[in-house]
Formats: sequence, structure tokens, C-alpha cells
Amino acid sequence: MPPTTPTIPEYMNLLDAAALAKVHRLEFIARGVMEGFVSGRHRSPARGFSVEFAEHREYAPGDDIRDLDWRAYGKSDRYYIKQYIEETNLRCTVLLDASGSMGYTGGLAARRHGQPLSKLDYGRYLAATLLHLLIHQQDAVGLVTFDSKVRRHLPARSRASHLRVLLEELQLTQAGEETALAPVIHGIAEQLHRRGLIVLISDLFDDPGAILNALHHFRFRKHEVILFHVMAEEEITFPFEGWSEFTDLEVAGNRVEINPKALRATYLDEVRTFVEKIKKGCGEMAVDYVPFSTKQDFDAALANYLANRGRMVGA
Amino acid sequence: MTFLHFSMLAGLALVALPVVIHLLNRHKAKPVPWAAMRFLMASLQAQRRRLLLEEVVLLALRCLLVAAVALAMARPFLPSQAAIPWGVILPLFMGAAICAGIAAAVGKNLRLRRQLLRASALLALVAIAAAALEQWLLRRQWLTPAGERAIVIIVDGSDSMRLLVDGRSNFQHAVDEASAVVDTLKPGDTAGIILAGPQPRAVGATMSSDRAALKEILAHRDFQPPGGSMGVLEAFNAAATMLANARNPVKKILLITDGQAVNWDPQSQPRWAYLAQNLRELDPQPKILCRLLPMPLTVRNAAIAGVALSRQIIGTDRPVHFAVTVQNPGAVPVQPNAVVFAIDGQPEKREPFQKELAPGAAETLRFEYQFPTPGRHLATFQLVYKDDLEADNTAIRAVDVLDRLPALIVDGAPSTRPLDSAAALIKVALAPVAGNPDPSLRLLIAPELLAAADAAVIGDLAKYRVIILSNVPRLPGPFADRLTEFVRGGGGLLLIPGNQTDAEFYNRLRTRAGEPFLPAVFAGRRGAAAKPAHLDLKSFTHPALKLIGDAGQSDAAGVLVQAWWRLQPDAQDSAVRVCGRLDTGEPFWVERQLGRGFILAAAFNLDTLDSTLPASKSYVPLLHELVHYLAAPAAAEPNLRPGEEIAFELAAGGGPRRIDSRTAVRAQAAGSTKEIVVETPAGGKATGTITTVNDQAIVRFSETLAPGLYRLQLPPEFKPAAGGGSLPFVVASPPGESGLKTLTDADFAAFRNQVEIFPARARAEMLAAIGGGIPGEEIWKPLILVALLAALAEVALTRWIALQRRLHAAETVTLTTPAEDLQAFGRKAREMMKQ
Repeated sequence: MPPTTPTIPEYMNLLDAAALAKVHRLEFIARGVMEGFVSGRHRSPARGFSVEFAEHREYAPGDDIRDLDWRAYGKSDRYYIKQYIEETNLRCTVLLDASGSMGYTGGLAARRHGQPLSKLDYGRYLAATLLHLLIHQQDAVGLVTFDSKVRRHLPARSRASHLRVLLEELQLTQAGEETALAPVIHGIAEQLHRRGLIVLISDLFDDPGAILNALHHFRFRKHEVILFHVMAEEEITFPFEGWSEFTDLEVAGNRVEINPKALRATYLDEVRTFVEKIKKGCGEMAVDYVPFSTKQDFDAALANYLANRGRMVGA
Repeated sequence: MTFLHFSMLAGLALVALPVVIHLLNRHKAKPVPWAAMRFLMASLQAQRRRLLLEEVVLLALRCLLVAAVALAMARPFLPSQAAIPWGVILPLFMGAAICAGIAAAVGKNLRLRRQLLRASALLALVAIAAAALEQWLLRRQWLTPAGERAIVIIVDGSDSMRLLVDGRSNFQHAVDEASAVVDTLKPGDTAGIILAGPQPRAVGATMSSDRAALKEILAHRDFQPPGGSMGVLEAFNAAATMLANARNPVKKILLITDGQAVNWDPQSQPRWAYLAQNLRELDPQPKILCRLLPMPLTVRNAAIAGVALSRQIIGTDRPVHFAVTVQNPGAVPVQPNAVVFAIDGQPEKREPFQKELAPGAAETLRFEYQFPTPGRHLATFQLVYKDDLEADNTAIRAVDVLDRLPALIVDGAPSTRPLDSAAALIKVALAPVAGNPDPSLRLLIAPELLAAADAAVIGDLAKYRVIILSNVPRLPGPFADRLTEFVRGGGGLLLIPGNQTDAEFYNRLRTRAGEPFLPAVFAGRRGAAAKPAHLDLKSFTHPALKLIGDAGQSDAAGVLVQAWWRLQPDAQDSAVRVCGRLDTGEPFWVERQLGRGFILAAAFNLDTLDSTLPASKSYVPLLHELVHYLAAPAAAEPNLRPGEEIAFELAAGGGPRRIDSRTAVRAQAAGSTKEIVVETPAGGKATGTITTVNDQAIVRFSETLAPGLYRLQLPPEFKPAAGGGSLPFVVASPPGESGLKTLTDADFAAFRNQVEIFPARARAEMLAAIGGGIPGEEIWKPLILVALLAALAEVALTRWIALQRRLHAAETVTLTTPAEDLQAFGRKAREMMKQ
């Protein structure tokens, strides 16, 4: 019987060994307090009994007498209960924009397996790497893919086997229809009851005011939000020459024939204004705004972000 | 306009080049699947109109550039007389090019593009058809059959041709042009030369085919401008006469002139029609070509534009005033030094000129002079100033100074008491110091008082200049007829009605021709001692009444009129005019022109019964002014216009008297005529005539086209009548000769209503027309200029668009996190702190 070669599932291609090596030594720590089931690396909103002392509380009927601080009783002749900061695990939900615009593949994009990455591919790799990192931190991770509506919602779980489900889903996600980002985000915000971490991976090609309003919905529900703004290099440099016919990836039949040099300056002004508006809105809502150009290697960019974030949270 | 290289218009197809390049670029548009469509559409929305406009202007300029080069290569030609002006054909071509450019830029609006391309093609076709039609017309009009030519070259010899252009006079330039034409003569061709002053002079007399002889005529030192103004039509008629004898199959007239618009007389259609008739009689009918030499751009010229005398009848008894108008007809300010006034060559006064004259401005200087002796005198005014045209710096006026002015006063109501009748009062007023031996108190007017009955039998009324009828009841029939003839001949009649006047008789009185004798009907006598009338001085507009009409000098306003005749002039009669009125509105003086003289009728008698006028200070000046005015028409005018005939009758003591041409001709036919010598302004001698018939001596001379001084040498027996010696006459220069006004295209258009006449503004144009080609000029240079301007505009616009689109800046959108922004801000702040 010939020796059987183990078959690597296709979804495992989303986990790049070099990328994982770069981010594996880093850890993802939530900036705010998180609600979780098990002890983990993140601060919990609940006060409990753990390693780190928090405060004393006066005994009340119903409290376990085992928790009484007898030393304090000896000193003050009053019953106190000792409280500790509980550490919990993180509930992270990755929202991946799978609209038509995310399907854009520019010639200047970074390449994987010899092929340039579309914005969606770039987002997939980002999501997979992040999910892998979190689940190995014992955090619960979930995934929502959407275009004009939610396509798939995989709730957050911390089991290691859940990663396979998530990666399979990521692998199967294809660029779809027109983006209607704001209503979808509002809908997702309504569905996520427990506070946690929201990672939105999108090109945000929608009305910036509506997008910011939707992100504010997450913040209102005490979620920590990280925005991975993925744009193709061509979208921020507009390097085209000569008459071109631009065809809309989202709306069929929407096309325009122009001399791109004539419009380059005003186009870049529009993009700049859009990015600045999003960045400013995120700053005001304490949303982490992380821009990515598909020209960058996603692993290096992500590692850089995680390193910076670790330093800032630690500080 | 048309094109010399018609086939090169095919180059206009190259206008399609920028259009095709642009459309091909658009056709090869690369498909780009694009996600960030919202930003693209937003920027396109904001820029759509601007982009379209930029494309339209850019492509129109490129097409215009190509079209201008193609048109210039086809050698556009502007004929002197274009049936279709360049202002139609060139804009059609340019419009076609611009339409093609716009068609390329209109984007995907295929319907509009098709319409614009159709319009472009249509405009181009119309323009080509118009140019072709123009060429056909020009060939038909100008191209003459091959054969020997007969050319008459007229060289303008007027004063203005002495003006310098490029260091040489225009006359010298004209001689050069004429020599160039002579050089083009081929064997068999003939040419004649006319030197055109006020009177044309054929130099060499006949048409000649000897080029050397013709050039010798032009180079001869006697071939100089005669001065004055050119007699344009006379010169053309002389040329037609020269060509009449030529047998050549091609005939042409060439006038070389500076184009000064003097004596061209575009309004005088009969004169031009006469020339046209002369030309039509020639076979073949010649065309006239005018080589227009450029006038100098800046002419420094001061001129004596006119001399006016304060009175027409001048005696030795009182001074006369000369008003001399100095004008600047040039283009730059001038300040002459002075005006020198001389009588008969002897300087009398030098008047410094104080003011600078702006171009077109004029200033009047006044000179007063009392002539000591009667006879004809010459008053010369010399402008002391060195300018570009000296011919107009001198003005001469001949002045007839009378020894005496005989006036007959006919008294219709004589009185035995002194100064009782009006006639006696008038005589005293006209000669208050008569019989005084002191010559300084001797007055010009010599009145003679006669009773009506005696006056009617006077044989010769012509010895009087003015006749005054004072309160004459009736006129014997023959006497009335003689009075009429007297007035027709230039005599003056003052009719003063009184209480004896038979109104019905005068109202019925008619001349032999049936005209009324009276200037106004005597409609009845009014007497209002209780309510006297006054003179309305404001209505005294007549030249003879101006002096007493001046309330500042005259006391006539206080005159009371107690009785007067109501005068009813015929308002429809153009020979009648009311000269002054009473304050009742009724006419006071009414005048009728009869022949060359005037009959002036008053409304009341000039005695003390009808008014207090004889007691006023105005009485004497009024009568003197009236007599001077009435005597003026009989005087021969010693200052003439060019071409005006000198014709006068010699009368002892009274100076030369005017006669009309008909009388002169009749007299010449009836009497014995002798030739007299006339010295001309050029120093030559001409011939006039003197005819003696009965007691009359009539002098005639008609060759007065050249301005200047003419002296008539009279036979010895007539010298006392003429005041002794020769009798000078002055022909004044036409005032326009000093100016810079030149002929316009509109003038040529007016001339062309009668004759075929075309301007040539360059030598090449002239030689082409004379050589049988089409006169005109090529205008490829302006088109090359248009192409250069279009190229410059295209480059400038492209640069401007690049600046607007910020093509030079390699800018992109930089994606940064807020933390990176903060770091960058910190770095920048540190750098600024270091600085």
C-alpha cells in the first residue's frame, strides 16, 4: 500500500506560514473591557476572585462566608469581602465586506502564489491571520460576510475547531453585489448583544457619513471597533494614462470613457477628502482606523499594527 | 478674394488630422474594471463642462492652425476690386475648421458630431465655390487679350506731391513708378505721359514706343510738379483723347498719385458721366488704374486757410480789415513764427504768432490797413514757418480800391426849402463834406441829386453804381425798363417810398421778363402819430443792417416811426428776403435779387415826417452801408477759384466791373477783339482777349486752372481805365490741398458707378495690372501670422490645462493611521523648532 500524502485543505492556503510567524509572537489585547466565559488575557467588566486584588466590599447576606477577609475582621471588627479583577476571554467578530468593489484587483497589488491580490483576497488574508491569532489566545472569534446584506454570520466561539469553519467560510466568500455598508452594519450591531471587539475589513465605498453613523452604533453598544480600510494602490494613485473606459464593478452597465489624466487631480482630491473624513470620524469615536494599500504585504502591515497596538495598550 | 494655387486647397483635408487623431485615441480606449466609481463620477460631474470646453477650444485651435497653414500655402490673393471680400471667404474656411474641431470634442453625441461635420464640409465647400467664382469673375474682368498695349501714364503734379516720404518727395516716387512701368513695355507697346497739375499737360504730345525717350522725359529737369491741385477729371479726359488715336488692342490709363481727395469730386456725377462717355467711345474701352502712393504718416504743416475782408467796396476814405485764418491741417502740433502782411510787395506789418496750433486747429489774425491810392492792389500774407509743405504758407488777395462810387439820388418830391425833402437829406448824409478841398476828408461816395423828370432822360445809367428813388410817385415806362437792366447788370437800387408814392403803379410794375419789380407789394400807408412804431433791431440780420442793428453801437432803437407803408413780400418767391422789421412785425426793409444786382425797398420815407431816423446818429452810417452793399455786385471779383474765367468790363474811375459770360460772348461777337498777354503764375505767357464794342472794353481770359498770380498786360489806351500798368488777378488754391484727406474705398466705389477704376497700393500690384494680370496683393503673411498665433495659443492653453490638472505634481493619496499622522506632526514641529 503506497504511503498516503496528507492533503492540505484549500482553506489552509489562507494561513501563510511566514505571516503567522511574524504575528505569532505578538498578542492581540483588547483595549477596553470585554465580556467572556473563561479567563483570558483581557480585562472583564465583572469583579470576581482571581489573582489581582481590586477592592473590599462590605459583607451582605448571601455572600459566601469563605470569601470573608478575616484579617480585616480582626482589625476592624467588621465583615468585608475581598474582590479581585477577573480576566476574561475576548469575543471578536470580523466583518468582511464582500461587495463587488472588493473584487477589484489592481496590477500594482502585492502577489500571493504569483497572482495579484484583490481587495477581497487581501481582506481574507488579514481576517484569517487575525482569527488564527485570536483563537490561539483562547479568544472567541466569529465572522460576518456581507455585501448589500449579510451573507453569512458565524457567531463567536473559542474552540480551536471553530477556526476551520471560519477559514472554510472565508475561502468560499466571493465578491458579490453593490455595497450598502451602513444598513448592514446597523443590522449586525443589533445582533451582537455582548460587548466585544468588532474588526471591519472593507473599502468603505459608501457615503462616509452613513458609515460613521453605523460605526457609532457599535460604539454605542460598547464594542471596541477596529476598521481595516483596504484600498487598492490604483485607487489611491490613479496611475492610468490614455483614454480609458472605466466599468463599474458593482453596477452593471455603469461605464464612463474619459482621459484619466484630465481627472486625476480632482479624483485624488475626492479620495483624499473621503479618507480624511473617515479617519477623522474614527478618531472622534475612538475607533482604530488602520488603512491598508493592497500594494503592501498584509502580514508586515498587520504585524506593524499589532506591535503598535500592543505598545499603546501596554502604556 | 481668391487663391493663386487653387490645388493647394486640398491641404485643407489635413484639418481632419487632429480630428482623426483625437477620435482614434478615444476609439482605442482601454477597458478598466473599476471599483472607486463614486469618486470618478463625482470628479467627472464637477469637471464635465470644463473638460468639454477645454477639448473644444484645444481642438478648434489645432484645426485652425492646420487650416491657416493650408490656406497660406494656397497663396490667398486679394484683388483690388473684390466681388467677394476676404471677410466672407476666410471666415467661412475658419468656421469650417472650427466646426471640425468642435465635432471631434463633443464626446459621444454622435448626432451632434455628424451635424457639425456636415456644417464644416458645407462651409468649406461654400468658401471654395466663392473663391472659384471670384477667380472666374476676375479673369473675365481683368485678363486682357494678348497684344500690344497703349498706356497713358498720368503723374500727379499737385502741391501735396512735394511732401517727403522716406526722404524723397512723392513726385519723385511717382516718377520712379512711371519708369518701372516704362521698363515693362514690350516691342509694339506705346505709352504717353501726362503731367497733371490744375491743367493736364501731355509731355511729348503723342504716344511713343521709344522706351528711352519716355524715360528721358521722366528724368528731364523740367518734369516738375506744376503745383496747385490736380485736375483729376481733366487729366483722365486728356488721357482718353491721347488713347483715341492709338490702334493698340489693349488700352490702359495709369494715374500715379498720393490719393489726396481734392478735385476728385465724387458727387459730381455729370462730370464722371462725361468721362465715362469719352472712354466708351474708345475701342477697346480702357480701364483706369490708380497707383496710390502712401502719404507721409506725420506731416508738419501750417497753412493760411483763408483771408476775409471786412467790406466788399473799398475806398481810400476808410481802413479795411483783413481776417487771416492760420490752420494746422497736418498731424503734429505747430507754432508758426509770424505772419507778415505786405501791400504790393512792401511789408507793412509783422504779427508774431503766440499760440501753438493742435492738429486741425485754426487761429485768426486781424490786420487793418487804409489804402492811400485807388486802383488794384495786392495784399500778401506770408506765414513765417519752415514746414513740410511751403506752397500753402503764402496767400495773395487782389483788392480793388475805388476812387469814387457814383450814386444817383432821384427826388420825387423836390422842395424849395433846403433839407426839406428826403432826397436832400440823403445827399447830405452820403456826402456831408462835399466840395471840401482837403483830400483826407474826401469820401468815396459821390452822390448826384436829380429831380425825377431829369433823371428819366439820363442817357447812361451805367456810370452810377447805385440809384436811390426817394418818394418818386411814378416811373416813366422806358426809365423803369432801364432801371431793371441796370440792376440786372449788377447795379443797386434803393427804393424809398413816401407820401407821394403811387402804390398801385409800383405794384403793377413788371420787368420785361414778367417778374414783379417791387420786392414787396405796397399794401397801404399807415400813420399812427399817437402810437408810433419802433425798429426791431433783433430782426436786422442783413449784412448792410448789421452795423445799426448792433444795439451797443447804434441809437436806432430810439427811432420813432410815425407813418409807414405796409410791405407784403411774396413768401414763395426765393429771390425775396425780409432784411429787417418794425416792432409791429411788419417788414421794414425787403430785398429782391434781380440778375446780379439788388432792389432794396424801405417801408417809410427817410425824411423827418415819417420818422425820427434822420435825427438819429445811425442815419448816416445806415445810408453808407446800404450804398456800399448795393454797389458791391457790380465790382469785378479779382480773386477767383481755379478754372473760373476772368471776364470784366473796364470803366474809368470805378475800377473793373463785372459782366456775365453771356454778355461777354455777345460783345465779343459784335465788337473788335485784340489779344492781350497774360503772365501766368508759372512765369509763362498766355493769351487773353480785349473786345471793344461801342464804348465798352471787355476783357476775357479763361486759362486759370493753376493757382497763383495772373497779370493782364493791357494795351496802352486801356491802362488809365485799369488804374495804370498791368492788371493782376489771383487764383486761390483749393483749401483741401493742405490737408491729408485721402481717397477711400467708398470713393472708388462711387467712381465705379461710372467708370472702371481700381486702386493699386503696391508697385507689384500696379505692374501686374498693367501687364495684363489681376491687380491685387497676396495675403499669405497674415494667415501665417494667424497660424503662429493659433500655435502659440495651443501651447499656452495646453500648459494652462496641465497646470489646472496639476499634471506636473506627482501627487497621490497617502494612507496613514492617526498615530502616524501624530508622529509626522511631531517631526514637523521639531524641524520647525530647529529652524
